[in-house]
Amino acid sequence: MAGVSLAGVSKNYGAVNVIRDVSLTINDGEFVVFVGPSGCGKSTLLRMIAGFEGITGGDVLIGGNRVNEMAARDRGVAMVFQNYALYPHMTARENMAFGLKNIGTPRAEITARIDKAAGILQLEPYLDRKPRALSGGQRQRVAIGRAIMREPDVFLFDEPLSNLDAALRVSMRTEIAKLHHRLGATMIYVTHDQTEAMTMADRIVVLRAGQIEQVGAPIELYERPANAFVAGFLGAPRINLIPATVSTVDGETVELVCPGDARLMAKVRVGSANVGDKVTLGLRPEILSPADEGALSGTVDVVEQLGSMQLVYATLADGTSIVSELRGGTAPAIGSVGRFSIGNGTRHVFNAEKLSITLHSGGGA
Amino acid sequence: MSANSLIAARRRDALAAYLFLAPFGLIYITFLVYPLFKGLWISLHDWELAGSYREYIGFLNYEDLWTDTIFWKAVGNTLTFVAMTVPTMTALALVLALAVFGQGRLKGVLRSIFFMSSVFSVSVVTLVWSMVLSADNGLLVPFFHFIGMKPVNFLGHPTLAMPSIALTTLWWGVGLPMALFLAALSQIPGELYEAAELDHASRFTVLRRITLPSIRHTVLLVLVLQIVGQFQIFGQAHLMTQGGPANRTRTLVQYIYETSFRDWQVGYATAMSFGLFLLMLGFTMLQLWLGRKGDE
Repeated sequence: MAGVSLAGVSKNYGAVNVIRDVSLTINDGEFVVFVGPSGCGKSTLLRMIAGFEGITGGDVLIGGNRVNEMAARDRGVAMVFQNYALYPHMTARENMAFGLKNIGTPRAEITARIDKAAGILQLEPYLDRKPRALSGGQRQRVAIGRAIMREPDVFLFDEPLSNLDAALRVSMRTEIAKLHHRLGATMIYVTHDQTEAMTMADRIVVLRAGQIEQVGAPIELYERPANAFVAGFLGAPRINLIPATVSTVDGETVELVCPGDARLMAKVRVGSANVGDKVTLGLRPEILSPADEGALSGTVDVVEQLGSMQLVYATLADGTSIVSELRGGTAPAIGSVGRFSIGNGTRHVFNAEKLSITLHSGGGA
Repeated sequence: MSANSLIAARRRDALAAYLFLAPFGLIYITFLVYPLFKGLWISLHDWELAGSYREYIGFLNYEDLWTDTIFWKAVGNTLTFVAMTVPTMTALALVLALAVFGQGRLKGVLRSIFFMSSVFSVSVVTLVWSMVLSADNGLLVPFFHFIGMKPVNFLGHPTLAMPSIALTTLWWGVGLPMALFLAALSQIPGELYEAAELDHASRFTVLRRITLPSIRHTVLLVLVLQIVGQFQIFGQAHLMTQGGPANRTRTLVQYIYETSFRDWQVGYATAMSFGLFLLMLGFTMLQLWLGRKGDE
């Protein structure tokens, strides 16, 4: 097992910088998820760690050793690919055995390891089938099995669940999380799905345009996003980002004027806001709910019934769309003007540069 | 919708489908099915190319074939030629494709060069190679002089004439199978090679366990196309050696051509064509059967 360090890593394709000065330390045994929108460089970064992409600048260290020029096969990593990358003309068993055979592992040991991996992943009934005779979930399990066989220092997952249907994604998510607990290996997992990131990660790395936006535990990023992008990327439904103007400042308390002349109080770091500043108010849907009385008012567009709750979508006076959660009770009629009250929970404030100036309970940014 | 209107709708659909198929069907029947049966009909006749002499003679043409030594010689020559060219062409095309596959300007230039020979007509190719192989002023003559040997007359040599024609054919025909292999190689997902890299596979292992199994259908296609194509060798032998020396390079199609258009015996030539047809069909089926066996 080994940790992974990135020190000022960058990658250019000609004049295009796809990865810019990324520094990050991943501890031994940690499950780290790289998350971000398409084209943010998360897969490139993973492939640089794997050894499939050259490194333009900086250093990649695995287990403390610089591996920039080392061939992928010598880095002690195993990778699970988005399209499984199973050898199509080999059975599941042969797929799993291929790597060990190539390095001359004795047959008995290969068999023992296949049995073990197949046991963990419940693959026994499928071992003698070729990939085309397996379902998507079974194929991905074989691909994971192949990765386990090598007993690598670091597991790399490149959007491994994105080709599976929703139900299977959920169950595979749990399986991978269990696998991590069982093996205790370092795992780096790339996804664009914030739910996967939130549910699986020890730490999430949010990337945008080749740069790290924020690194932290899922709940930390959820509760204390460093900027509006991170706040918007994590959490479903998405956080409501409402334009506002600072009307009064009293130490850490500010009054914000929102569309429809709604006035709301929020806490910001002392000195971070001045009267007249244009800011963005961030309200998670779970603290916003339709009510008879409420600070915000908007025209109800859509109501989604989810069973345990309803999601009420509305448009504020300036055209900003908001979404709120309603647990119990009757949703306002579509087309009606409803009021929305703000419950307990953080009122995030982002300055003109979209950086968080929120004062969190317990102090700090 | 009632059952009747459903049937009516199906009929309309079927009618539309047949209308769409009609142009192809018409061409197929006129130029393939009809000539095939017409050929079979002609082969049962003593049928002259010009004039109107046609006499039904049953299977007499086929009986004559059985005892025609030149025919069997031509069959033997053709089989030899096929054995020389088909495996070599397939292997060479694959090696070239592997060598020039991928990015890079040099590879792009080489791809074009290797393919370029295919665009020449048979007369150009045979002319060029006759000049190369000529014992009087051929390309190799200075080489023979240099090593102190009398220049070899490749095309007039009983043993070397057929290999020379095979060599010409390889040079001429390698472009298309190479292009087919290049297309097949480009279909192999790059991730398979990345997975193989992490699996410590050597280059040879990658070729044997990843690349070749991934393109085996194209290998089969190339083999079948080559069998069908090379059995019909005509132009090279006709233009380079005229079937000589001593019928050593007389091929089946050449003999069919001569029988039909020089000797005017269309009936007999058509019977030979059916012989060739059965030969090609047999080998192609064998190839496909072997390929399918490998799939299981």
